Amino acid sequence: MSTDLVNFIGLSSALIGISTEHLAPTIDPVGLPPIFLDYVCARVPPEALNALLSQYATLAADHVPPDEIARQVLAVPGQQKVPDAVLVARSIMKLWLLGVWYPPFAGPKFDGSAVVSDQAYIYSWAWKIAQAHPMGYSESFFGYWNSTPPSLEALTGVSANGQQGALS
Amino acid sequence: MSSEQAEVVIVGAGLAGSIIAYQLGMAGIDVLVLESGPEIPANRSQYLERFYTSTLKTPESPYPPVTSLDPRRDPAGQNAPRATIADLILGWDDPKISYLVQKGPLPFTSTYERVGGGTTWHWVGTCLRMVPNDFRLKTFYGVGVDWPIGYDDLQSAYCRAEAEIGVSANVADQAYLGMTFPEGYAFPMHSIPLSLVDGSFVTAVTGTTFDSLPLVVSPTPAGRNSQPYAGRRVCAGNTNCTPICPIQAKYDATVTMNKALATGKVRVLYRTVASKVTVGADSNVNGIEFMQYQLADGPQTGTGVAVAQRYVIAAHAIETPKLLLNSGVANSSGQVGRSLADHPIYLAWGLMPEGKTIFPYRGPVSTAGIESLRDGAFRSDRAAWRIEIGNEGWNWPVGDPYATVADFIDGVNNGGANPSNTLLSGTALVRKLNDVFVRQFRIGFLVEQVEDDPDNADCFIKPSTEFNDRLGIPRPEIHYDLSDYTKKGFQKAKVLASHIIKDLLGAQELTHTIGPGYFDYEKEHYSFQGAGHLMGTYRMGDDPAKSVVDKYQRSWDHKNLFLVGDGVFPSTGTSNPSLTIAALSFQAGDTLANDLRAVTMQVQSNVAWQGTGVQLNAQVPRMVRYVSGKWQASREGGMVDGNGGSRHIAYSSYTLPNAAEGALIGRVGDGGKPFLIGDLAQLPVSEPGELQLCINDDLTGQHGAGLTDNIGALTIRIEFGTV
Repeated sequence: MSTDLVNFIGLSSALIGISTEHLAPTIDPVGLPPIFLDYVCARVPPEALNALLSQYATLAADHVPPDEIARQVLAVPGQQKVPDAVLVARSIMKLWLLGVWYPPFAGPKFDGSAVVSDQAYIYSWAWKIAQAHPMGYSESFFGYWNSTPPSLEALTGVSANGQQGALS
Repeated sequence: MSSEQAEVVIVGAGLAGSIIAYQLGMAGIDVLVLESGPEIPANRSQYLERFYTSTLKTPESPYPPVTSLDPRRDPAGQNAPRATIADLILGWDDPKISYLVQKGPLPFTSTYERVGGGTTWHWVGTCLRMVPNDFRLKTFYGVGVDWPIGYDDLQSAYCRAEAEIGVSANVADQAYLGMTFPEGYAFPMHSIPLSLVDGSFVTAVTGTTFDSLPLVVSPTPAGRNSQPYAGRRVCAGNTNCTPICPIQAKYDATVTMNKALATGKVRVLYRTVASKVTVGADSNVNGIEFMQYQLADGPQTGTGVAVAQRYVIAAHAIETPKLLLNSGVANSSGQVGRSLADHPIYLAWGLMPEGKTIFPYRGPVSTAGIESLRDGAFRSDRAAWRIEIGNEGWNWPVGDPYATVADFIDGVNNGGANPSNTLLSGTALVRKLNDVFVRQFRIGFLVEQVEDDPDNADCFIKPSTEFNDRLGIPRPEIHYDLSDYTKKGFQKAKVLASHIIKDLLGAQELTHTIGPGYFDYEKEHYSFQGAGHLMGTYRMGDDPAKSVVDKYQRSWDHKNLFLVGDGVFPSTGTSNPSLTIAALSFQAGDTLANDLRAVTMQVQSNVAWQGTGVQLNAQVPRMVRYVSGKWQASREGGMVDGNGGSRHIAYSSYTLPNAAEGALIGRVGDGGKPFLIGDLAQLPVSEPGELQLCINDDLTGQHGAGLTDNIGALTIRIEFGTV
């Protein structure tokens, strides 16, 4: 695995709060991380992405906790315009959570957004965070909707505050 | 120009066209179907892939031609364009964008498909029957139009439709507001379990009332498998009935069309757009001209005419009147294209209280509704509605999960869950998104649309004089508005929605208006959504001056032309229309089959079992109807019709001991068990074989003269259909 990919996975994990083991499991039949990295590389200025990856690498080397890394990477100083690197980081977050690439510097409407692939949609994390499944891709059985789903922690590794849901 | 022939030509391979094609195929009748769109795919993987990778996951997103916001498509460049949500977003009133040439004042916000299988590809699967009073709106409430038929006239057809579609429901849940079912009736499959979202509504509303009527949550009868049925799988709760069920656990018309094709009597010409219905000097239709293409936006590749004995237009409430009006036929009433209707939807949504999780985005799109307010004395004053409870969170109202994810990443509040424009990341983002998603719900009120003056409707379609499709066919020009009666229904819907959300659920209401369908009523601002329920435009009735077809869905003007689908609905009721479309299609199929294949024959009184040449089987319901004549089995019994006389004789040598002497008796095959027919009877389907008929008398003359003293004969008709 390239250094860039390691850093991309680590950065992504810190930004969206899902562990690297969940984003890039050792046995990964889907293999989204290199696909996402290639996709992003082809669509943002190299300096913007490199800045993000090296910022992450530095913070990680200093053992800064992931949530703090995310805060620093996404920080918008004062009343300034949102820096390009932050816009890129936000697009990377949406990519993982929704499977959709929203060009970071586009306008709000008809912005050239695209679903990266069917797999990107199916394995996007918003659905697991909702303790559900992608619309149109259920791996559950008849009647499951009448019972409480597996917990947020079981699905994402993140424990919810005081929650909800059966143990899986 | 090519020439095609069949006994029946059907325009449209959707729900109505497929059911009729299948019935006629089973009756041995040659059928040709003209379908404007592409063929039914061998499997749905390509449609599914298109859905997965579409950023705009509208109901149309899986189906050809591709619909998107960017690049947009000019409908003038397409051979079989259709209305889409993308049209509504990009410019509903701009004919360079919108296929429908919309003249307002309000936008028509429903859409449909033009592909093999029709719009059932993306129906939710709701299979509610209409309630009895829906058929008598004018009589009971003084508004709208009565149907020429009533609930009881549709009873057996509803049962057949439920069998064909495969409906999951329990009779005990559905017998409300006067709806009845045949004794011992059971739906093909048991009911679909309620979702956790539904459960929260059950808890909240049960025992409460609105306008003195009870609020009752009912499981929704669904054309969706709760058990393996008809070779299709059980629902896996993909929460994607609209736009596409990935596993065909939900019925769609391709199921029936494939069965129709398997009869060997039905063929379909795809990418074949009916362009003109022609009429002969005898006022009968004598052909349907068509145009063909290969590529959705490519050149025309052929023209032709389809000739048959009977013609059926099954192309929905917009394409059917478009074809009729472009052809100048079937419109002596002036009602073709008039009274276009939908079930405009009042959409409301909210967030359950902190800690109250209901776990949406799971299960079928909807599994329950509040149906107890579909009828009542209030219908003299305002429109009725049913309430659909959604299982897909805020997917419909705000486009979640997309909106809320972006809101907390960008620090904005497009979805409504981030009023303080908070920026989140890391595990805090996960926790917040989870907290919002698991508490989301929405409800939709499907409002009955009633015209103030149904004979001079405000809503109508006519051919555009300015805008054509790529084939040069004038596109539908839509004029649409909602009456005060309908708007008053919205007013009440809004009151109840807020009451349920805030008072009964204790939730936070986040409803706001969503375009492009807006109106103001009594100083309040409302928006409405399309239900995809296109109705009206060629209504059935008793009066040829005010209706387009009779109660058999036969054109008043052209006796060999049938118009089917929900365009025949004189009024919309509040039930999702597909089940009623299917039921009416079975009836139209019967009428067509009887026109072409009913057997009229004489049954002699002095001959024992007489063959009819009619082969019975389980797939085609048949019946025998007495037409005329009298016969006599004995002087004492006298001349009687098929019901026989007053004498009931138990001798075993009689055709059917203990039945009325002189009654008409049937059996299936030489060794079949005799059964009473009388003047009208449904024929049994348990054993296949030839129907044989006989008078009830002493067949072997063991107790007198037997058949030798009999006189007379009965004329009977062996028909298709159910009693």
